[in-house]
Amino acid sequence: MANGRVRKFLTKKLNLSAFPVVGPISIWILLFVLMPLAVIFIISFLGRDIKGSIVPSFSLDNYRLLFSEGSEYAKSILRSILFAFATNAACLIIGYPMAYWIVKYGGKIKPFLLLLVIVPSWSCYVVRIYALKQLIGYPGIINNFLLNIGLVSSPIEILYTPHAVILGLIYIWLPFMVLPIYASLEGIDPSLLEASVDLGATPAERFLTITLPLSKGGIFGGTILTFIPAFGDWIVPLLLGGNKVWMAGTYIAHYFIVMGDLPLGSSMTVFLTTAIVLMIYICIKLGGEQAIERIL
Amino acid sequence: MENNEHIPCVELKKLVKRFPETVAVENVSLKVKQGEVFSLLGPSGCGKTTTLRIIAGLETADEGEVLIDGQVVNKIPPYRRNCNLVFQNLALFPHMTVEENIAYGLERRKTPKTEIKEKIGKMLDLMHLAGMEKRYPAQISGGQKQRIALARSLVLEPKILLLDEPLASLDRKIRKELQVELRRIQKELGITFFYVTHDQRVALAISDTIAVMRAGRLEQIAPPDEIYDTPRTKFIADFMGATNIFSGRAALKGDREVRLESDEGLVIFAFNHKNIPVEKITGISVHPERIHVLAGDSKSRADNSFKGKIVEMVYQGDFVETKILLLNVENSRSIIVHLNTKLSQKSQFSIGKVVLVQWDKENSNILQD
Repeated sequence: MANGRVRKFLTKKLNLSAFPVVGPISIWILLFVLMPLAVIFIISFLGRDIKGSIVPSFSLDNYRLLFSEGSEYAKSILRSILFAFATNAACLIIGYPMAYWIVKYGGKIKPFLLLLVIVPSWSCYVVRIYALKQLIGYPGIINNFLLNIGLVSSPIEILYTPHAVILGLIYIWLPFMVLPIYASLEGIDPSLLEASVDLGATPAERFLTITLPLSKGGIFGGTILTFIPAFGDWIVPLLLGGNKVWMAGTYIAHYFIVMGDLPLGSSMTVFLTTAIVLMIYICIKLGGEQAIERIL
Repeated sequence: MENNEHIPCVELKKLVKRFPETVAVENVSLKVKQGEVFSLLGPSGCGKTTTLRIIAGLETADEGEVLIDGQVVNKIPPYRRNCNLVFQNLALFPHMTVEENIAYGLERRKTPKTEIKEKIGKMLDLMHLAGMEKRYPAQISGGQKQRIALARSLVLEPKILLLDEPLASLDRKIRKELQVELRRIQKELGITFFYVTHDQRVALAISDTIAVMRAGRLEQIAPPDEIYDTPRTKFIADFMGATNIFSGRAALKGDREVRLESDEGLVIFAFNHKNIPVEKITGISVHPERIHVLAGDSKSRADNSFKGKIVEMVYQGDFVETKILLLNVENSRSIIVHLNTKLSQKSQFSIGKVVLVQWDKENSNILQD
């Protein structure tokens, strides 16, 4: 009978009918996501000699270094969480009413309004950050204006502060909060809203008991799409934070590109990736399947 | 209390609703008595749902008044009106359990928790739904959803329950069961129902009064049997399945009889029960099941007897829908007859055979307009 089981196993293995569907994407993920991650994971446990070459000996030194007392990296992780949280909250506070407004009052120009939300993300990310720099720096449009009308006597410092970094993150990631929320609000059957009013709900109660719970998927979807990239971002802090505001991503880029310390950079990457995967998991747990649907 | 009985549960006075393209409701006035099932019947797009939504407060009327229990409610928002709506698609809240759905309205009224629980229990018993409390709408059948939508509205004990074709999406068997159920629940609770439908069979089955609506106007308001037996206009006659409609000029014959000369040249007699003035009469309708079919060689001298040839027979189970082309008539004019299935199996009633059709003048219904 073991023979039969073996044959069953073999035929199951050889059943290639699903391959055209699942195959290409599996290979893609395997080659370009899982394998690089595996390489990074392995390197993170290796050492480094004085000249900078990787030494093939197993050690936990990199990780020990990450969380040693007074480690700047550990601080930057906390800072990243804080920034990502602020970005996410701000995107939600700005994005939800935006999406709600488009759904409710957009009428025939809904597609156009949506386009306005999306269009900025078609232009290069770095170009937009530089544009923002022109706006908040000195000399810059806002400071010049305030100085000219005499509201301030010396230029206010926005650029190269944590505020500038958060502002940049909000600016870049806001559309990714608006779109999933828009999709979930648009998907609410209007008769549900009418039913709630018919059953005695005031407009405020209707929002809290029907609209908000039914757009939960959009909120968590938007959270995944804004919190996580903001958490791992390194270009925004590099350009708007300068040398003063470092996020976790900035450290990784620094160790990989400037210092050439691959093992330490890898260990930082492994930690950051783990943290992000954990957060996605929490978001999906809380937001249910709708969160994933809204992202896709 | 006695006085109360005379106040209509719902009254519409010269209601008008215009949309950019059309007038949806035109000068509609009607009264719904306390405790009755009132059906608004009409084809889709006739304005019946708009009328219902105006009563519920989900649309505002451009002109006219809506009275619930003698009070003008035009300016009262829907969430303060003492009427509830069962939506066509039911609109159950998908993120709430059955229990939470039913409790929704009571919670909005700040009803105490223990009372809510008690009322939900009673409702679920009434709807034969005990044990479903914790399920979500996606986990129950179409018929059960129906009952929950009903329960969700009825638990609030509204003055009037508005129903927007809630049975339309169900299959025939369940629809029939729920019709009976609906009637039972209505009788048990004594709540007035205002039922909007395009299905004349449902309307006939559940109503105390039917109002037939066409293109924003009411054509006739009467009890079901009256609507069915004596439809006032061609439109209603056709809508109620009286497929044999003859237009023509009428003349009085004797005291209570009408003699109609149809456009095809047929002479049809009718009994003028309602003493309709002859100049108002425009035609006559006959229900297909009220027409007798006799063998072609039989001699009949009765009124309304015509010779014809069977040209089409469509089996319908309990009867055979038979199309008979009348002979000796100018334009080709046919009559639809519901032939008894047993009878249809006889050889003299097969396609191509000449037969004699006949109906009593009591079964000729006089049409106006």
